[in-house]
Amino acid sequence: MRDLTFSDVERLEAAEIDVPFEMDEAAFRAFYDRTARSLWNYLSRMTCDPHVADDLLQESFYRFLRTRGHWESEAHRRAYLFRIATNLVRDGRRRARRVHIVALPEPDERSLPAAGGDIAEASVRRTDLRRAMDRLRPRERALLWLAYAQGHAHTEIANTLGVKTGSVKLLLFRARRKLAGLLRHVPARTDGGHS
Amino acid sequence: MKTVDCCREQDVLDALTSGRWPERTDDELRDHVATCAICADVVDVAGALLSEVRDDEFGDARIPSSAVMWWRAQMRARQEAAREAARPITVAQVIASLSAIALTITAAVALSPWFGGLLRSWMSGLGAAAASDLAPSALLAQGWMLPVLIIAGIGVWVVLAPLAIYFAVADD
Repeated sequence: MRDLTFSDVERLEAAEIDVPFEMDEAAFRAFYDRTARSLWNYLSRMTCDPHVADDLLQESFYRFLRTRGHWESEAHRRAYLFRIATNLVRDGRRRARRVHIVALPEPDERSLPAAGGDIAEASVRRTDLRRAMDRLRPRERALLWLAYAQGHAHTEIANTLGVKTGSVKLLLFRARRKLAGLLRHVPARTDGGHS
Repeated sequence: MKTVDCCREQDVLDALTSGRWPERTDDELRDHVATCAICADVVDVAGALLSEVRDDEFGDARIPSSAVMWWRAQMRARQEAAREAARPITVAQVIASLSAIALTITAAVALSPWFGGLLRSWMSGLGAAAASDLAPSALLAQGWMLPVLIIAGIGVWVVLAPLAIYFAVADD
């Protein structure tokens, strides 16, 4: 879809076109404020590209708004939103064949020891985690992120990823095993010895 | 059967998420983790992911406000609704334009002596070049060419009309 021009915006704002969304503005804004940050975090980890995450965030909420659905609970509604986002990531991956797995600039490790103990250590840890996560399958990444970083319940994860609730435990076990193994076998880094 | 979970897993997760692990956790849980492969994996994996969340390297990422998101959604929905509403009008306009062009050409061929003469001289030029028994000039002389031209025009219109409609109404 092409971008809107100023004249388009003026025309559309003036137009009396009824746009029925399932939610009213207040409800949407409250829901958005509760979920946007965690959804963006999820998208940025799944795509490894903050710019793509920006686009997908907007698309996810728009599609969510256009959906006519009845949700039993807040968790169900959130799982539905995350499912839309997951499908968008999957579609994008299919189109691009391969999402840029390491699109974010990695820190220069030689500069880390001089950066100060905690900051350097955190950066190294983050880099290790990112490398290990990159070696997981997309669904494994999503599972682990939703379960541990975002604390979603198994039912919610199942709804988000489109798997059976009973399978989540086993899938999570396998993904966790794999990531733990990768984290324990991170290639040894040189200490550098920079002063 | 392989065990995929541990009854202490939730305790370990609680300790990690509340920031109690490992210093402010009781020895019994620490001892359990030291001997349980599942809980050791939970500590490594959940610990790393929770650190990532706490460090929040994208914490300063600007996420549009809910008001902006709502406004954009409204604009986009209106744009789509307007396009949807205009679609039948566009189709009708395209069909009307194509019909008008086809009718004009047909009428010109059928009624205009000047156009007919022009066409006849052009066809006879072709006919001379082709030197055939069924040259266009001969066909014209026999009065066959006019219906043939009209049918050909309608045929071209039938072929082009769907294409024109497709290009007119296709999304960007």
